[in-house]
Amino acid sequence: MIDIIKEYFRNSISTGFWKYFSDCKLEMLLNSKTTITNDSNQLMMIYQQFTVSIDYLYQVYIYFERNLEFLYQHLPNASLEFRYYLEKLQNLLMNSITLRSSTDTMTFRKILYMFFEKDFKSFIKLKEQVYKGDQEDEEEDEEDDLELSIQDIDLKESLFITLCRKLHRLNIINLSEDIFTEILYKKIFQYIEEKCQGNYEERFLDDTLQFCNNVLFKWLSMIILSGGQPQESDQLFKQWKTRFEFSIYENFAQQRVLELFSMIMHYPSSRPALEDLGVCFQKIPIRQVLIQHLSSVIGQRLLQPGAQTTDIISQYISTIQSLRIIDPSGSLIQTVGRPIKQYLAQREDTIRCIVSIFTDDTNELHKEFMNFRDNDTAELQEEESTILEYDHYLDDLDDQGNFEKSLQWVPLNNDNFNTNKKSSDDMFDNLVQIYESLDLFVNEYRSMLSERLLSAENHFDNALVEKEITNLELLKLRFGENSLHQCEIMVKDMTDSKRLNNLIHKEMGSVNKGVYETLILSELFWPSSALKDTLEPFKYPKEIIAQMGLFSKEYERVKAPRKLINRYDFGRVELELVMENGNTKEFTVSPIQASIISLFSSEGGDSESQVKLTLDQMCSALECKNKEQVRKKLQFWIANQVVKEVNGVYQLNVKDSSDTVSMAEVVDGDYVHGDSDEDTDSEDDVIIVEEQEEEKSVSEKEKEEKMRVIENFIIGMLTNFKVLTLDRIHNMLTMFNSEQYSSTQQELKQFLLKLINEEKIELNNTEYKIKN
Amino acid sequence: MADSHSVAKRLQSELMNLMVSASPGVSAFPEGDNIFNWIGTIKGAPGTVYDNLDFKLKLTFPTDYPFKPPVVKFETSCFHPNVDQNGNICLDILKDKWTPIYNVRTLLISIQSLLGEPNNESPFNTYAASIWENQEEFKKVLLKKYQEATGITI
Repeated sequence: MIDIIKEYFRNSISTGFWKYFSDCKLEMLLNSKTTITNDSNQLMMIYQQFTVSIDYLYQVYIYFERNLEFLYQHLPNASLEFRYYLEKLQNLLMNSITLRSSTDTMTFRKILYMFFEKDFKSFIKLKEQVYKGDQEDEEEDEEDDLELSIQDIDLKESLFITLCRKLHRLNIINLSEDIFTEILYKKIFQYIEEKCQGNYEERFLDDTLQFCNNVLFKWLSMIILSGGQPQESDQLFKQWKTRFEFSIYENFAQQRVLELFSMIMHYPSSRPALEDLGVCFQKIPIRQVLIQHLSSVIGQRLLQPGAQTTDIISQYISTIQSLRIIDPSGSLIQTVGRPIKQYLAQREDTIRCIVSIFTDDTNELHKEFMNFRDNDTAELQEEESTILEYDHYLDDLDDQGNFEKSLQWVPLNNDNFNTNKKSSDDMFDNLVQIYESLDLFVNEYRSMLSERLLSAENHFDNALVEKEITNLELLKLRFGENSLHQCEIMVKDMTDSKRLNNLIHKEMGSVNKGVYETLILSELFWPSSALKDTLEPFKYPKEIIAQMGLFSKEYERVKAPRKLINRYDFGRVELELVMENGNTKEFTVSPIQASIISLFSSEGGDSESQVKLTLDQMCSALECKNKEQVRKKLQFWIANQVVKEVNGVYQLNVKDSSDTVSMAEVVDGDYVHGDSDEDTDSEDDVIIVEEQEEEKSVSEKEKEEKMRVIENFIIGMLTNFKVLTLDRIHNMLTMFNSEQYSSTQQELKQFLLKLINEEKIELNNTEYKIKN
Repeated sequence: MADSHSVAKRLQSELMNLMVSASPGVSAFPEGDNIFNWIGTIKGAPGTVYDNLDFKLKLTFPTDYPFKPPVVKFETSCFHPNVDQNGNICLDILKDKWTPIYNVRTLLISIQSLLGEPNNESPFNTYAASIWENQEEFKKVLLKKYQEATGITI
């Protein structure tokens, strides 16, 4: 019986079905990868034929169904439910059509796909038109059925629903689930991509969801709800909806995660996009993907030798702020931030950059730094006291309140188990946390402060000092009073110097006030690097020495028992050179440059006797041992065409020059031994012809310090063991000073060679010993 | 047994301390691989008869250091009222006066100053104690003994 039906289906129904499409170019559907083809007429035709053919199938099916039902009722020993036979019938029918040949299977799927897609498209078009209302001119499409009135739309929809109902009966809906799923996904992805990509300044998530609700789910409901029992399909529809919503979140999040790095770069204008991502983050598990992707992009794009430290820091700050929007618990940033922190810690200029970012009042973050309020400290204190209470709780189990508090404890997330420090909202704290200790920061700040103070144009400028005092006060709030004591003294030196200068000049009845000024620095409180000798000693012109002597004497009288030690290498001199032709030229130079040019000044304005000096003569006049140094400083005057050189003899450039070098203003530097104060004034700030010494960062100095300890260890070993081989030294350093010693044997050999050159140790064959 | 790890840690930090701080005339370093055995070097202080003489010492730390003092012995034979033939030293802080406040550095400095200021009340070496008053003769004997022990003539 079944075989006969099968045969019938296969031979006549199938042929009947496919006959509907005989006029359509079905191969067109097969050939094009997607069903979107240009030939809309063909598509239209297939669409219509499909509708008709489904009608045909439906009628056949209904006929058979009725007969089947009749048979079933008259079958005395039906062991199975009617439903089973019905399904059998559906399969038989469908198989006869689609399984005729492999091409047919494919073609049928294509037709279905085309059918749903086409209907979906026109549905969206209509919906969009309805949404847009009349305010927008609709893009006219090839589809003429777009020009439909509301009734037409209703009609069209009801036609679609009717068709769907038939498809349900024929079980074709079940077969084509993946088809309309694909169509819907494609639309969602396309929608998200079109709307959101590259645009971070608006929120799109709700918008996307709403679009899906209004359009996609409507269409879906027409398909799903048209079939079978209302309750069942309701249930089904809900499942579909949940599934789609999840996919929307997932896809949306994926899209956003891919752009996260750019979003961070655009922070804070990308805030809406970040908030969207935050919503997704709470709904679906994108954590791992996000971390992986962002970390790899950061590794590729940010943590590169080519990136400037300041850029890395500001991106790091944005990253913290952005990720906090996505994940307020702060565990994301712990994980993502770790490699950035580690990378920054390796860079030598990081501290310097951080300190300058926060103390530079043109920087955005300076505001945040300034905003540090007392209630932050209060919060911290509160936190501390909570901890204390917990301790208390341990002793006193009856305390119900504390017991409840302790119940609020939240386990640490997997990702942040090794950093239980609570990530702070304060960016400065976040940056400071890159380092283990505050001391590094304070040291670097101190060194920058000394630089800023010493290189200032006018040391007695109140604004300068006031700004530094504000910074200091803010730092004190964070780091505590004690750690910044030295810096305070440094700033105080500035104001004290001003006062002392006034006082001393008044005492001396000096007319030189404002002409000769001294900056008095407390040696012990300034970083030693700032005050270290930069030049070989040389002698100032005698008028200046006399002036210095007077000042120092007066200082020692006023501030006994303190002593003033003058620094020959610091300071700034403002010079006015009066040329032979009466022209004057003004220069601001370092003391040594001023001293050199003063050698050329002809005494008593006797212009006939040109002063001619060799380098050696100059050196002896300056009592300077370092010829190279004098030569270099002389370059400044040569470059400025004040001095010229002829066969190793230097003289003033007569062409437009000569003569009286009058010291218009001299500012000089010195410092004091003894228990505190000293004096100095700034350094070469000069139009530099000479090379400038490179700044050594604090960490570099640390390295030196480390090597000094290693040296001590080596000397200590050799003192006690007389002779040692390279091997033994290396082993003992590794064993007893593993914290600081990390060199290879080869590096150690280099270092020992350096010590040999410094005549501290010597090498006999393979054994090192102390040099006597 | 005390926790030998924490003792080793303490000795490690004492070594660091000794290496980075300037302690003229005294030095010490772990011998070989064992941080519990150290070799020390003391230079006689200027102005004493021991001026310019180098003495090697052996320091052995107990596992309950610093609660017990280390055993300190002269390796270089030392002619001194409070040092015996075998290099044992009679010094109160090495015995009952020891407290954990002392460390290798202070110990070495104490021994260094003991050289110049012996305690003649309870001598280990009675001969040395008897001629201590005569510094010239003492020095002569000391240098002779030192040369015998080290082969170095001063």
